[in-house]
Amino acid sequence: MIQDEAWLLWGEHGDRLANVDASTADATSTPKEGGGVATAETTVARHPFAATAAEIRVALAGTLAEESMKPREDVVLRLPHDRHETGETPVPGLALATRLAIDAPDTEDLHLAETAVPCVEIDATTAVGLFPAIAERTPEGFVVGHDIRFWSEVATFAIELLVDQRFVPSVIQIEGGPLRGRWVPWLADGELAEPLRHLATGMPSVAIATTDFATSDRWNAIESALEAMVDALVRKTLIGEDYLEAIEDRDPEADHQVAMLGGLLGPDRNTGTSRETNVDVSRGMRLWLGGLIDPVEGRAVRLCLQLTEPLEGVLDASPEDIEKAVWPLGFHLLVTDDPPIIVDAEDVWADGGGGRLASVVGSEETPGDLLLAELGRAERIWPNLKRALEGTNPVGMDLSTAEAHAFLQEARPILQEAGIEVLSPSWWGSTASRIGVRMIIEPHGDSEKPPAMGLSSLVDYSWEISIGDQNVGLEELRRLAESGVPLVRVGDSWVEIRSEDFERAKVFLEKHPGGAATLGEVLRLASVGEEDGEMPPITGVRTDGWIKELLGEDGIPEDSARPVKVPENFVGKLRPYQERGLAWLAFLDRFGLGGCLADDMGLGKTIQMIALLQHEREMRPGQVGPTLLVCPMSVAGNWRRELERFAPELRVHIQHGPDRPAGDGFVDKVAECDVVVTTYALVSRDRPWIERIDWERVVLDEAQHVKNPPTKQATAIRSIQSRHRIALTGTPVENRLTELWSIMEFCLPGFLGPQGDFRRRFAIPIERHRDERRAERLRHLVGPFVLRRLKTDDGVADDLPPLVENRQQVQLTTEQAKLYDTVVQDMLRKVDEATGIRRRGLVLSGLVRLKQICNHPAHFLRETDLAPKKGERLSQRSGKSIRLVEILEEVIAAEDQALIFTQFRQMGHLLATILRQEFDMEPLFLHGGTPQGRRDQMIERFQNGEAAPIFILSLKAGGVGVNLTSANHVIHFDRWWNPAVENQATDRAFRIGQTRTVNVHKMITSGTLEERIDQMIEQKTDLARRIIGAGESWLTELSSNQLRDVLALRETAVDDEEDA
Amino acid sequence: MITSREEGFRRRDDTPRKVRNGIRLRTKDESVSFGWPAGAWLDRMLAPYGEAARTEGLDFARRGQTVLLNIEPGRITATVQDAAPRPFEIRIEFEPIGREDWDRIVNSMAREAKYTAKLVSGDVSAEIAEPFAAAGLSLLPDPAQVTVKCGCGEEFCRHAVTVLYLVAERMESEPLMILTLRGLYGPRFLERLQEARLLATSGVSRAHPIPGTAAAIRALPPMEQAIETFWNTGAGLETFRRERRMEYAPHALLRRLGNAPLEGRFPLVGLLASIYDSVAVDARRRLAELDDVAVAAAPPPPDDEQVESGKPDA
Repeated sequence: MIQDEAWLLWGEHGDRLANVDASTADATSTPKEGGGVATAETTVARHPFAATAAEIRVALAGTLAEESMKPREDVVLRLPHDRHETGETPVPGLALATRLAIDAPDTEDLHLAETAVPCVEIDATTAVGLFPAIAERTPEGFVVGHDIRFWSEVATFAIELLVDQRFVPSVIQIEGGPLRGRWVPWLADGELAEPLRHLATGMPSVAIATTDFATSDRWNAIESALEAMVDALVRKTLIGEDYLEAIEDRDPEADHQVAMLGGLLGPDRNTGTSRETNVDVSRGMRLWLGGLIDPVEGRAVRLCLQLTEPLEGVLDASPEDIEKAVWPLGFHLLVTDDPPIIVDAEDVWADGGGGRLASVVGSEETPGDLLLAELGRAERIWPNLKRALEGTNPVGMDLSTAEAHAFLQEARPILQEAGIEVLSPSWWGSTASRIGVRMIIEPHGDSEKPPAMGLSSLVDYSWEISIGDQNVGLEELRRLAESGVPLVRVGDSWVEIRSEDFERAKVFLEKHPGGAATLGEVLRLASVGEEDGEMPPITGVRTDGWIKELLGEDGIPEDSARPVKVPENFVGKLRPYQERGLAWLAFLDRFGLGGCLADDMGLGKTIQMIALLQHEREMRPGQVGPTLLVCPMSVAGNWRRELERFAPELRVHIQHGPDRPAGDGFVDKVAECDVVVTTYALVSRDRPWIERIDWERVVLDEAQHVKNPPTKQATAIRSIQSRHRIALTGTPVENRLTELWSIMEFCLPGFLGPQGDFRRRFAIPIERHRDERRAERLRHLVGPFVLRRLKTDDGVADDLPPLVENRQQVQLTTEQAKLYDTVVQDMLRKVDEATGIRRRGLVLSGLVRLKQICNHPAHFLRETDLAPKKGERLSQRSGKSIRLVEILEEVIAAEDQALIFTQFRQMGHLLATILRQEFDMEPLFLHGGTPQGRRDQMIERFQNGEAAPIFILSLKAGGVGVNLTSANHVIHFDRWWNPAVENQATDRAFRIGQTRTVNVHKMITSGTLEERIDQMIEQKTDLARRIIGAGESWLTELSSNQLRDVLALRETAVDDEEDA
Repeated sequence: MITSREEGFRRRDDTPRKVRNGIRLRTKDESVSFGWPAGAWLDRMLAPYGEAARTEGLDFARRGQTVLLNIEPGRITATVQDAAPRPFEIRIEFEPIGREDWDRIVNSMAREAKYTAKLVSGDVSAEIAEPFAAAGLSLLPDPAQVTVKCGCGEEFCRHAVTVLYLVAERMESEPLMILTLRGLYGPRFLERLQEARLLATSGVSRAHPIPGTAAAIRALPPMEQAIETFWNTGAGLETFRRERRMEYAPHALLRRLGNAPLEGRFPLVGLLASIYDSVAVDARRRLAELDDVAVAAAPPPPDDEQVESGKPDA
């Protein structure tokens, strides 16, 4: 329990931790524990590298006022400690450890122990403002702890609860103390259960590090934090508006409502009332708030009110008739079976209020009692029901049109919230029942054919007032609005009409006469409307001419309308969803519109793209210019392989390496090519001659890379002139709005407006406030230009095989290549001179070293200082880890889980460090030294989704006997060259219990022994037969020349991006 | 002692007037006896009464001579019809237990679960007298602390006996009445006891209920087991961030709450309505401020000039 609703900030000091230059501090916080935690006793050691309270105050001085930070000494925390000969010391927090690349000690060496740290104490009001602010913008020289990010979410949630009016007054009695008023969030409604659970599972342990072990309780921490914040904020508002005046001069002993308010309206929490009054207030409040609890929650039967529209005599009726129309409201019991059963009240009573229904109701109450009790509860919310309850066996009541409207508009949402089912006419709440405006888009002038100018094509647009599909004139609207009836008949549907509708529509039409504009502008206007204007809702779009073809008649493109033949040259088969993808790409191309193919990883974006290249050449032979394909170095090899395999007739040039053509040479080369593959880094370097080409198309693969590119790269990429632009990405762009904007800015420049605008208009409301309506508008806006299919989608899942193998062909970095070459030369020289056992030993040890180099230079060099130097990321030193990070980005974004297998325990540690640095998470790591108990726990937590979604396993320890079916990606980071061993590891995920397609990624470094041996196995050579099952010993028997052939570095193996 | 009050036993020629729908003893048994606490209480109360008064009083109770009977904390009022044209009014008052004594008793009972367990289930056994004795008080009234006044003007009259029998019979079915008669309404006592129990066990009692989801969250595996993820936020936070926010009607909770069942006429609902509005407006402003921080914290667009002039190429 938080008694003094305060948060304690503490920090670690990088300088003190080690001899590190950077002065970093890790600010993290924990809610203060009242009473339970003693201040430091002599037995509790002081934290050796904690920041002092003064240092924290200085660090936050720019953000917080001096007086809001109260220094506190020696607050006892329970933190992970590392055991060693000289005793035990706290380990640095993850944020600091990541920043300084300190390898995490083996978890089995860790245990929780007490340590005393200096703190700065802040109150709830300060906390609400501080956490979101520093989580968003970290003060200079600081690393923000993960718990601060957690508390920032809690703080934002607390404010949202206030915006949504989800709080109630309450009272709290503390033993031996006075009665206190307290504003509390109302968290007991069913729909908050899921979000609260997610919040709880998102809570890092450090957030309650002050908590006693026995009472470590996520619920308490979350609830008391929310309560403290809600109470502080509400009080602040009430004090500011002088609400205390309302109860001035009133006697709290005589009026217990005043007694309660006395502890709620001002700064003083105590009601200051007598014991007797307190007991009465407590009891009354408990009763009152208890009434909010849905008494039938979880019960199989609940009350259901059904409003039906008048049946007869209203068609074309006058306003008077409509006013007098009778709306029957029926009472039912809803049995929440599957499918639900609705029992009319008549039947309940005919049954004698019990009988055969009783078994369904399932309590001591008879169904009749339940119906009455629930009607009574509904009546408290909607007093009009009283009329019906005057009879003995109520079955329903009739409402006037005005009452029906009030019921739908006001009572319905609250009744539903209280757990009472309300069935309303189907038109209620749909756009069809509201007055809106509709946009008509037509080709400009007499252009019959699509101008193929994409979004800059000129179109004519205008607005009309509409109700559903109907077009309504302004005069008609005036007549309806003036009738004073809230629900009217238009055609044969009921429409809600408000008095301001006419005025708003009139003003809108006057201000928006329509005219000619570019398609891009018009689409934006049609789905986004005007920001916060008094604009009638936009109910749809009506299109004509070629725009109809593009957007569909009502603005929703028809998927089935544009099938495309699979190109004849395509070697292989396209799955049905891939054919649809091809059709979509071809379709956008026809209109000169860019787009983003964002299919889930493993669905074959590459081959859909390749099929498009072939398709257009079949449609317009000899008229298609070259396509420039820009991708990260890590996948360039894959592109070449896939192009060769599926479209051997396409002439491909890989623009890569120090000897790549430049200037005229490049132009000449491109002239005889269909596809040029290059990398992001090279685009800006080769920009002068790339710009000279008249490209048919620019394709960005792994387009999420353009999110925050160096200016030079972004400018270069956007400046390439081409007829068509396509972006490929496997990340869920619709959820990552910064990425979405960058990608759309490439595909359809200017379409989403300037970035700042986009952020304010969409990113912030959607990402920070989960604003569903805004998200819907954005989906509508970009919908035609983004195609994303998930592996789990209908029509995709059935097409997928249970196991998909991806060979991840990666390049060596320059650093790796140099090491590799040196080791190979050294080894071959020594091997030449040696014989027998010694030669064998040399080969085997050399082999291990080469594999280590392919894995990561730091693995080979046995580096211990892994802190990133001058902004260089550890992951970027190895081709494999570069690609690994890219793959995991998509895995994490899709909320999938992955297993990474390596033969080397040391590489496992290195991978863990890389993942910490890249993804800010602590992956699970299972190796031979992991004790059994720990191992079972890790597996269970991974399977239950309670740990990080990435599990690193050493092949020996995790290759057998473990069930990890919650993972649907298996990455073989290094190769064993024994399919049986690898398959056995893959089977950790691919086994009974697996419900999804398992993607297996095998990392192969191009030009090295890895590729060579892989090829041998693939081609099932004689040699390969000896390889399989024999481990690596066969290599020792090769002659020196054979060895040289297998091991020596081949050209194009090197990634030359680094110095870009 | 019983016979020493001979003068209170007076024969009358005239029989008492009949009472329509009078309150009568329900039991038809020859001898009337009650369990604990009613029996013990009645014995205590009847101690000073003479044999005749007892017999006649019981007879009156059986015949339904009582017109009204009202039991309040610390007091019984009744009217009993005798031969006289007008019924006699009787007031029996008990010296109440003081507020502080009640607190002490409630608190001492709260410390032992057995009391609450028994009392809540309606079981009032002789045990509950113990905490009273421990506080130097007696749960059963000491006749010296009882004052009886009857309209007949006599002390220890049969009318009082009539009333005592009727009260005892009620007490037999509502044993908590014994507490009511010591000044604290029985059910109220129970509430105070439960409240005190809460306080004694958790240190705090609150009016708002604990949401059902709390149990589910508490059932999550304890965090200390996951030492390798001690510093991490879990995956749930990402999900939480993306979860759709419900839309709520304004004043929805207030309308579900209705009027508070608290004494007094203060227009609470009206005040709360304006509080909800004020708070929501203020919170919306706060949220907008956080947005501004977020907007300001966003990295500037990679190349501004390019964005601003971002024209479709054609």
